[in-house]
Amino acid sequence: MTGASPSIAGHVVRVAAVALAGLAVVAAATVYWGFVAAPSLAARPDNPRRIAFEQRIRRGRILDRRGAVLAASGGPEAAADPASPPARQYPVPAAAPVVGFQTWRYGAGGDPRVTYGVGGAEAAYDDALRGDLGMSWRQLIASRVLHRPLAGHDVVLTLDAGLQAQAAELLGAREGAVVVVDVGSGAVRALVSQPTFDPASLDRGAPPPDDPRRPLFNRATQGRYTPGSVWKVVTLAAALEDGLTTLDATVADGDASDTFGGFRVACDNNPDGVTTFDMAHAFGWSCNLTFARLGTALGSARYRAHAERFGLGEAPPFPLPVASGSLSEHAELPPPELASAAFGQGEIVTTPLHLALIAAAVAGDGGLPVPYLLADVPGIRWGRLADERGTWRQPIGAATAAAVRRAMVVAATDGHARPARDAAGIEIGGKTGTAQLGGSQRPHAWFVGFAPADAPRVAVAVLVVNGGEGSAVAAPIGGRVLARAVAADDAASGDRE
Amino acid sequence: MTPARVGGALAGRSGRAAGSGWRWAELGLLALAAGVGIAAGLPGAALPEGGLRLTALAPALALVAAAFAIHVSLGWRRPGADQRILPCIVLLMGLGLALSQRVAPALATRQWAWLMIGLATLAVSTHLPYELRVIQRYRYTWAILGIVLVGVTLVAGRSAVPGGPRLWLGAGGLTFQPSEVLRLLLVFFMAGYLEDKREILSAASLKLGPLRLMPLPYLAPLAAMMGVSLALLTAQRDLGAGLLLFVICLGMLYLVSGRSTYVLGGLALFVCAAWLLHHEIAVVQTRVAIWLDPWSDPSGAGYQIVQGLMAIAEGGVIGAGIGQGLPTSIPAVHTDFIYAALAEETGLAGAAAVLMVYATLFLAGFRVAVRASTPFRQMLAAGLTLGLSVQTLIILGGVLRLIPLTGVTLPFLSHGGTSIVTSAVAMGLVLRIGDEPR
Repeated sequence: MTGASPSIAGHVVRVAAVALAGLAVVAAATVYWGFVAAPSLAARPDNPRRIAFEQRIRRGRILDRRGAVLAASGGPEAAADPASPPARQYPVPAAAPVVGFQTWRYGAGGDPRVTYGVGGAEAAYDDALRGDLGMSWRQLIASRVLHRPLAGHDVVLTLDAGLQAQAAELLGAREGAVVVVDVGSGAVRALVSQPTFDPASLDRGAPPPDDPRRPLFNRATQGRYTPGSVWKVVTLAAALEDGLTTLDATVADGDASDTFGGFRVACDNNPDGVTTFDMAHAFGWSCNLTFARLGTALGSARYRAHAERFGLGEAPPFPLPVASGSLSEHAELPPPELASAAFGQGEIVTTPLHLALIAAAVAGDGGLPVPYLLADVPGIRWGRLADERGTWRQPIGAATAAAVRRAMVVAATDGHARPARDAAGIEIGGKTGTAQLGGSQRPHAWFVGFAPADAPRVAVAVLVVNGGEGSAVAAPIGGRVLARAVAADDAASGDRE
Repeated sequence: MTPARVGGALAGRSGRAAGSGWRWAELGLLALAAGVGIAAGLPGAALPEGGLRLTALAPALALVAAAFAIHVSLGWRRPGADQRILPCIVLLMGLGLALSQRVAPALATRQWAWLMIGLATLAVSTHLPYELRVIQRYRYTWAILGIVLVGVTLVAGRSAVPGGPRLWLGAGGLTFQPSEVLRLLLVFFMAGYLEDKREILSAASLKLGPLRLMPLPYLAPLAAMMGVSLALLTAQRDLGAGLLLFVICLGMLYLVSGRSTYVLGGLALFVCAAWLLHHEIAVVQTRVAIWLDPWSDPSGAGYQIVQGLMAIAEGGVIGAGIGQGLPTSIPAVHTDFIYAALAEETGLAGAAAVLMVYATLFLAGFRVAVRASTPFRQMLAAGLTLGLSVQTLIILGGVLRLIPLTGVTLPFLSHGGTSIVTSAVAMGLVLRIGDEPR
């Protein structure tokens, strides 16, 4: 027997070192895929784990302000069969524009594989609904390590399911939007957009992404429309705030007309034979000439400043996607455009939500509230969970707001907004609008208002796209919605007492 | 740090008990390994309404009992054998059994039976009363046997899936994978042959400019054995086994000669062969394309590797927990991709622990080689350990997209009877070499 070879032993040591280095590279690669690249891999839509793990969660319910169920899921036992994921129930289909959807088949048009998608409040409060929120880090680790069944939190919205359903019903098959906000707080009581979708049907792939009716598009928060005469609320408030006029000022524009940079404007909307009236009635009868004069008197720069103080050009903070309006593409408005903008025509566009906030501002102390949707998450301490609240913009003082309010009550009593008051059956303030679109298009019918007239609690904006006359089409809807909203508010206060 | 020192630090005492009584280090580590193996099986045995289904733990308990029996037999007959090897193997087997019950419950009993046979094989190859020189004496027999084996498979082999590579031999329900056996036979042959020609191979007798080459005539039998087996494996499309054999040959050439020239020459040869294979064989092109970009076809060609990486990503640091992940979305998760399942359910922590167990096992094997009493035993122990290490690195590298994926098993952890038995023979021999008189 020969002795051991020291040279072989040396080579073995080197080979062992190489093998060890190989294992070290393997360990580094494991850390790379398991830690560094993990987030992007986990987020891939074709990762079957996403849906498998989501289905283990018992997702929280979405409730309206009085506890009515807007969305609810089956339990985890219903999720045992991955081939038929538990359908989330949406008992109030009219609430779809607010509640949104939760689906296992989001983007079904392009990708046949099942994935998880959310929209609306389902997306905005996903953390709470899935149960991630409100846990301390210790609870999070414990629930992960011990594999506790995940239960989400219920989310209570400010929405009023009955009001929402009624507003949607009043719009009917017409394209349009209704927004109701609480005057003092900015709590959103109803937010309707038509046509809308059935959230429960998204798992079956409906509606197609290229549906020409655009049912997934939220007209109340994202639609930009010419406001027409409802914008006179802003022009009046700006002129009163700057002391250019008073409600009692005499206006003799009834059968007059004037040109603004070659653009001829007449009063147009006053009753036949009534040629001289006060400013409140000029507003109530929606006299275009008077408002063109007010806008021109304010001037381009001041008018723009006022409009921007009212929030035009910026989107209010809100848990759902919101579009912002705009005044004009010109920095300095040419005389015809300034005159048109003053009575809500021309380049100016904004959203129904924005106009509801303006109505809430004049119905209150002059401040536009921050609109919010989340009332409560029972069992969770308040924190980063809550929607932002408070005053978004303070364009005018309380005195100016009171004056505009009075003008709107006049409009609802003597003016074109009368059909709204008749429909409501209670004293209200309001303003109609008929936004001319040019060409052969039917105008947009608008109404903004508040109720009750003496101490407003709710404000509304109603839009019927290509609906015709605001006074005939939008005002009755607005009136009924206001009456219902006040009644619901009384009932809710009764509940609390 | 030399492997010996690394190993010594891990075990706390040297391999040889030298009549100092019981093998306490092995017993302690074995208890640890048994605990891990049984604990890994607990989630599978847990009943939804609370409590445990003890019958589900029976296989793991039987495995542990067999391991303790081997421990006792080692203390009695092989007191000098390395004390880390058995616990490492038992830990991997226990985890493998638990993962098998988790991801392929229908095959778990079969896997358990193979693990028990593996432990029995380990005991037999450690205890059989033959001289190791027998292996050296019949070196050419091993070579011929290996070539015949592959040849027979080529003619009469079966495929696991219709139309797939015909890698299996057998009759009835019993099949085995000849390429796994070939790996063992190759190490036997090379250890014997290279030890025989060691003096000649180490001396430089042929100079070609700055290069010093091995005397060509002595390379011929080696090249023949290698060439024939590689060619046969290529014909079979068993690329993983081909790569494994090639690296073992190069590694053992280096072990005997210490010449990096051989390694470099081998690598050059490998590059040429790889280029040729890439041009000639469609399956190589596919594998390389998937390796370079699995993302372009994640639901088709790249599905397995992408699903494997997603599983590893899901694991994070502590893992989803055994039974809580979704590793069954990976095709062949119980064989080639067992590591992805491990990483998903036990996280980086579990994967790192298993890698350290492999490191400990390999270092123990190489340490036996360093300390072995004759050059042949050194070559044999080092070659057998090298085979296991290279196999481990090839499959882990493939799963982690470090190299193109080729299907070989992860020693002791993957599903696969032949692999368990041949790996057990290898480690049994290493245990035996460790106990030879110094």
